[in-house]
Amino acid sequence: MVTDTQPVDWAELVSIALVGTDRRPVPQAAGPGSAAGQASQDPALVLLSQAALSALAWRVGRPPERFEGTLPAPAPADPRPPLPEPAARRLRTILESYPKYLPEWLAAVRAAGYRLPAAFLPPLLDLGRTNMLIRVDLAAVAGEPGRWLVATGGNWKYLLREARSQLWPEDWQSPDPDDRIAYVAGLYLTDADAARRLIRETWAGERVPVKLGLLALLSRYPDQEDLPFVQTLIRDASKQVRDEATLLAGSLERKRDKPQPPDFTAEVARLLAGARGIGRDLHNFVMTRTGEPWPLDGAQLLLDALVEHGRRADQPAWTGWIAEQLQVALADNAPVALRDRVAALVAEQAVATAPGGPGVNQASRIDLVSMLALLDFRHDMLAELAPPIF
Amino acid sequence: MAGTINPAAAQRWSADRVHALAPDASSQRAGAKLAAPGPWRDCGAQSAVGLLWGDCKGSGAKPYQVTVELSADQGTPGYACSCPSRKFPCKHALGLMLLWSAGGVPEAEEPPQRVRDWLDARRERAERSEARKAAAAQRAAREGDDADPAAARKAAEAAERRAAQRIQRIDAGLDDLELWLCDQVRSGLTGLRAAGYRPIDDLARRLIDAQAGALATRVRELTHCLNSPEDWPERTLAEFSLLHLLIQGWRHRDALPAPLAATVRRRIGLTMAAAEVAEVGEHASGRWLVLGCRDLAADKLVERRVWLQRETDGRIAMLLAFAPPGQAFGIALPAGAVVEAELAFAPDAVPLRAVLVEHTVVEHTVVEHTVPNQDTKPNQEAESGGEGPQGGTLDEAAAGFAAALAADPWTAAVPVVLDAAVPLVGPKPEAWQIVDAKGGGRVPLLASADGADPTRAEQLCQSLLACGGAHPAPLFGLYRPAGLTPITIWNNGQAASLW
Repeated sequence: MVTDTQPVDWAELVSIALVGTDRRPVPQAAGPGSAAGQASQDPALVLLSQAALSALAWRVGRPPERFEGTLPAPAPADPRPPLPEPAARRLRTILESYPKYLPEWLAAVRAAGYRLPAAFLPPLLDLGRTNMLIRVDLAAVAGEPGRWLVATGGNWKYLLREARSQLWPEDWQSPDPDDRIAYVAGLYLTDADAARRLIRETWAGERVPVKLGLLALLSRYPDQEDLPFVQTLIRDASKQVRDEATLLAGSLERKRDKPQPPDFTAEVARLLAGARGIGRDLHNFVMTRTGEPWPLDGAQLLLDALVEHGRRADQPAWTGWIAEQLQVALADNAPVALRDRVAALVAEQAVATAPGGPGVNQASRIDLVSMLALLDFRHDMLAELAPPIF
Repeated sequence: MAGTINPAAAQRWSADRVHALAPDASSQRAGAKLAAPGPWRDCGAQSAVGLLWGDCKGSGAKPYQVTVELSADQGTPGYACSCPSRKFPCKHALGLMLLWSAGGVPEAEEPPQRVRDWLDARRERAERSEARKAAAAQRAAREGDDADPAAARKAAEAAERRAAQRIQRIDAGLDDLELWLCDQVRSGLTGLRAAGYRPIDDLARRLIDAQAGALATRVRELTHCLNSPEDWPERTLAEFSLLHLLIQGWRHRDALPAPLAATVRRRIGLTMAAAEVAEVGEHASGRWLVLGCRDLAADKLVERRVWLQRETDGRIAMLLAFAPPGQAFGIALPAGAVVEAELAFAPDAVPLRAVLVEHTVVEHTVVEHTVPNQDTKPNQEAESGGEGPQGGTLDEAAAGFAAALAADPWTAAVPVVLDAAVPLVGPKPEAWQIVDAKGGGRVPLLASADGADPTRAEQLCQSLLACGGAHPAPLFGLYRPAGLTPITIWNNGQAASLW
């Protein structure tokens, strides 16, 4: 037992324990009555007893160090109203299970002008790192607190190159490349022609990081009129700039030589007529147009064709896969207004399959119920984000 | 709809509270996925009695039939689902509860027949088990009184024999441990470090055989000490000396003050059953704020720790619950909730562990749809009138740790609330710090305890920064001299759980 003894120096005990008491003697602790007891004891036990006493002081540690210096600037206030509770819950569901609807959701939040719960910023900023499509809306929704978070301690520097909530002329004068790029990105959103002019006028004097950022903006908002200018950049002094410019010029040239993409509704109608229903060509065309909003009349045409397809039992088996793909694409890209039409079809189907109804073989082989579920999800998602009433 | 509270909405649970029922993170995710109206048919709820039902379309032709009963205040919730999942509650039950919490389940007058049948069966089971318990109690009382004193004496003797046998085993295990410690100290710790995991694992197994489970866990953690890059000799010798002290404490337990003896027994592995704590422990009741919650995956069980703080005096209690992976915990209390509860503290040199004797969750009213007023200023929409925790400074935390160490030398960390904490960003998670804007101290931020996932550490730092916005804010965490592990941060009276 350790009583009344003066603790032996902790560092010394540690160095003895490292090599072992077989090789180094254990010092006797000073104190009344301890020496006699210890002399007869195993030196290892003596060491452990002394360590128990000395370790306590080591484990208490030192009081917290003083903080000298200034605290970091706190996050700026966000004057926007907070995201409504149901929408915040929905965001959780979207992040977990429906990331494909995140672009549409972010655009709606941006339009409604809500501010995000701060806890969601890190996961969303992580997604923006790989998903370029959401960056413009994400930057707007994250707002100044988002910029503060990135500037203070995140790995999401890309956000600093996106448009700010307002155009700040001093950003254009800033020595920081990110600020200059952010200014032009903002200008693109308000006046794209002015942004293009500004890029051309100041190009010669810009440094390479700014040039690369501006090239990224030029390819985000491709315009045939930029082609002659971009072609001159192929001889830029920097190799990185030359490479990026060559890529952009190539893509602009390809776009120039290719015919305009056909009108969605007209093309769907033409392909449906040609194949007398759903076919490979229609599938190929529709899949190139996912990720953009479809016109309601085109979506209607496609829905009707799908329902018709489902009613006929004599379809070749391989068309089932195509129909399934088209069905999901329709639920994801059609205007939410299509929902009512699908709901009516589901109700019709329920009547058809009910006992005494026209019969099961009349029922559609298209899974209208899961289509309706997706459309419902999008409908509710957008409804929750109706702009706040002041 | 602006800001209205309808009576059914007030009875619904918050999404956080439902999430706390999930047995693990993957069920939580799967449940959230099903919390959309799409897959659900024929849903209904009687929010007043906490009864929900619905059919969920799964991959099969037949929908899964889900029923949930959240007995209003206390008692264990009951779940039934026709799916084959062994998780409890399954994702369908969680999805239904989340949908309900969001107001997506219509109130209904009368549950369908299958729900009524299930309820009847549940009541009957509960009654039968009550009756069995009562009968057993009666029998015990009768036996205590008169009938067959010989049998009673025999049973008591058997119990005594078992207890004595366990003490003997522990004694033998501790003798082995002491021998092992002395051997290592004699031949030098450097050799033990080189020997790797094996000798420590063998010793831990030996202690498990000796029925000293807590001690075995402690011995296993020696590997963290030995693997720590900088101060491994100090940490290892300190841990050795603590093991030595525990052996001494056990051998002299009769001479120790009762609370310290209880601590020694617990640290060896002789824990007091909840029922006994409720009987002999110190009772404390009042309104308690849930400071935070952390789940730790141990061997075959997940351990959940929930910290509570009493509103009147700031006293902190810790509740412990265990569940096999995939099963529901008995307690589901999200950070920021307030409970009206009576607790019983287990006897300990530093009383902290407690059991719930009875409790009711006093939830903040669920508002359907909060539309802010024009005059709502940012960062002010929640007046934190007594909703945040009561905190102190880092220096007080350090003093609190020293005091705890003096009473219980095996203390590793103490739960603390800081009043005005600000994270200080570092180039990597290990370099972050927590600054006490009120008391002026600073300590390293310990994002991960020993052996935790380093990517998790970065996430923790970032959500701490995002949620607090570097405003001086109340922060709850675990303090040790090496640093502070944050668990919950408050911003404008809103608790944000960082785990």
